[in-house]
Amino acid sequence: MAGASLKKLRKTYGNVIAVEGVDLEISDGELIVLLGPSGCGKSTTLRMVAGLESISSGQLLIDDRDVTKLEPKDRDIAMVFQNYALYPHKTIRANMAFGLKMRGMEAGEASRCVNEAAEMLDITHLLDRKPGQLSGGQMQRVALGRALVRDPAIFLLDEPLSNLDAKLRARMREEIALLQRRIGKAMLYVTHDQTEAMTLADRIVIMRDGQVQQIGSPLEVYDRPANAFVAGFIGSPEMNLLAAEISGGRLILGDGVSMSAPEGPNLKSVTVGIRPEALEPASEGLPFSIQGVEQLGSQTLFIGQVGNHRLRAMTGRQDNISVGDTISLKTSPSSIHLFENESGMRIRNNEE
Amino acid sequence: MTRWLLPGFLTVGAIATLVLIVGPALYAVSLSFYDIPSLTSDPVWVGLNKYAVVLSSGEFWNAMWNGIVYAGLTIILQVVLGIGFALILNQKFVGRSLLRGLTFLPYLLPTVIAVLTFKWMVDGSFGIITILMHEWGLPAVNWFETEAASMFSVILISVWLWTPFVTTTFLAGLQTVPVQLYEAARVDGAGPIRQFFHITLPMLRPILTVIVLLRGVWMFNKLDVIWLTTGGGPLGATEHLPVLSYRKAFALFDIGSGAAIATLSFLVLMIAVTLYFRAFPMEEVK
Repeated sequence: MAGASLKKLRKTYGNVIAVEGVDLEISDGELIVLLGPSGCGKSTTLRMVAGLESISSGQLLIDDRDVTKLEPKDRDIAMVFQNYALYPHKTIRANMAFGLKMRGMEAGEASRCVNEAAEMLDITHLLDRKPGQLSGGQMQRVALGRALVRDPAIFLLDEPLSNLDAKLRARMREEIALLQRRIGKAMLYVTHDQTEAMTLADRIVIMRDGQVQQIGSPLEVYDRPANAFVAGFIGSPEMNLLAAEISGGRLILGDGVSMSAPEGPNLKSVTVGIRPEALEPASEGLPFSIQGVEQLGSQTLFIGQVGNHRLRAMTGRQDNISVGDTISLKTSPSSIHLFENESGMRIRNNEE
Repeated sequence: MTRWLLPGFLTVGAIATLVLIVGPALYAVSLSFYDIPSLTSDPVWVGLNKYAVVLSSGEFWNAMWNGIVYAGLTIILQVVLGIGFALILNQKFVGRSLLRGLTFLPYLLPTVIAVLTFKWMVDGSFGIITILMHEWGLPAVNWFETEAASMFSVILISVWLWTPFVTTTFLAGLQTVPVQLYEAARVDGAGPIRQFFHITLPMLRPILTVIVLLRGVWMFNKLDVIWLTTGGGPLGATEHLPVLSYRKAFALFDIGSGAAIATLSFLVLMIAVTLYFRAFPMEEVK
């Protein structure tokens, strides 16, 4: 199997554990996104794969070769850095050719590779400029191009789009997805942006405090978050998480508010997770007093109270409901997620 | 109030510059057109006569050549050693801060003290270097007696004194180079030497340009080390333009010639700096 294989990768700085035993198989042509809040260890994991951080323990295979102790240049990787890290005094052409030159590729051949990659990324007209004369988006393309010419076993991207404005980010996101499908190489992509993760990834690895929380396809982690942290991190707007008691087949939310509980769990108190988009206005259901209305065009986001819980509900466009109104919300039992209070772990329902 | 602030400051600055720099400089230049046998005698106008005499004298060209050798070698050594030390001090090791501080010490030392200490250490009968060299069976060196040795000695002292300037400036520059560039180079397969030539040196080129310029001008005009050690000797072997100018004006009481030499020295330096800027234009700030 080509691609890469991370076996119990661990990083410690003295007594501090930055990354705790990451296990991950990346197959050829697969795009894996490492997702998590800052400080969760996702970048450190990527840098261990790159060889820019030493691996404290564990094993790393790239293309079935043990590279745990090798220098970055000997690992058959290419990397795209967050701040592009283009050599400012070199032309774009020289920037892209540098890695090839260092590997002793003959100049004509290198030039051919650069031209090919430049064409693929539509940056041929920039080749004779210097990085200082380029816009952020253009520099991002060049950084991608520099990785692309190398034709490595795996591409490593460290928050590559975080310095771009929202519109450009969306466009580059699409392009990276297309590019990756076209070249068919493994890609490890770090981001803290869950939209980027959802739209790009074949599989998402969600990390927190140095530990992997869940590995799964975008829809898997959206539909069946492994714990309350993943549930809150994936999806926008955030999932509503409410404390509740289970009694007589009903979820008691307090203040006389309750709803029917999904079958299965045999617990007293739980955390209930309901996605805002799983709630909709109905003739009867949870009484929802509206405190805020955000119109997003095709959709409307309501912020309000159910009992003493603050709740968000995202519905299709609603023009006639305003702040101060109280409406009823309903949801289907299948879209209710339950988590253990202490551990935050998902409680499987009968269908799972 | 604010309306007068800018012109006010400008006026003060302009007056200070005129009185303290431009005035004396022009006065010095004007002296070169007169024959003034002593500081109290009346100057006699001689036009460009002093320049003709100076330019046709062997000692002027000897001093010019010595100045170029002295300035050139000291700059090269200071820059090479300074960069080397900066690269070492930029590594992580125990006691780095202490060593960084120590490295800067020579620069804080008054030249007089450095020179006297050096003279002491190489003293022919009780200098520690003389004694150690004798014990190790090395031949005695006459540090200031032969022509080559005295040039070597003044260069040695100067490099010891002023390399810290290069080290410190370059070290400060090293810390501004983004770490990601080195990481990108590592991924690209460049080792430490290639990283130095492909990243460090180009990134620090603007700083290096300024260092070489400043040190060059200073070394060309440096009087103290040579004056305090050899006084220009033996037989003019270490006499450069500042020493010659000083000797003419204050030892031989030919103030006109001294001023002419100083003026010529200034012109030479100005041409050199202009050529330098042509060759190494300051890069525009990005």
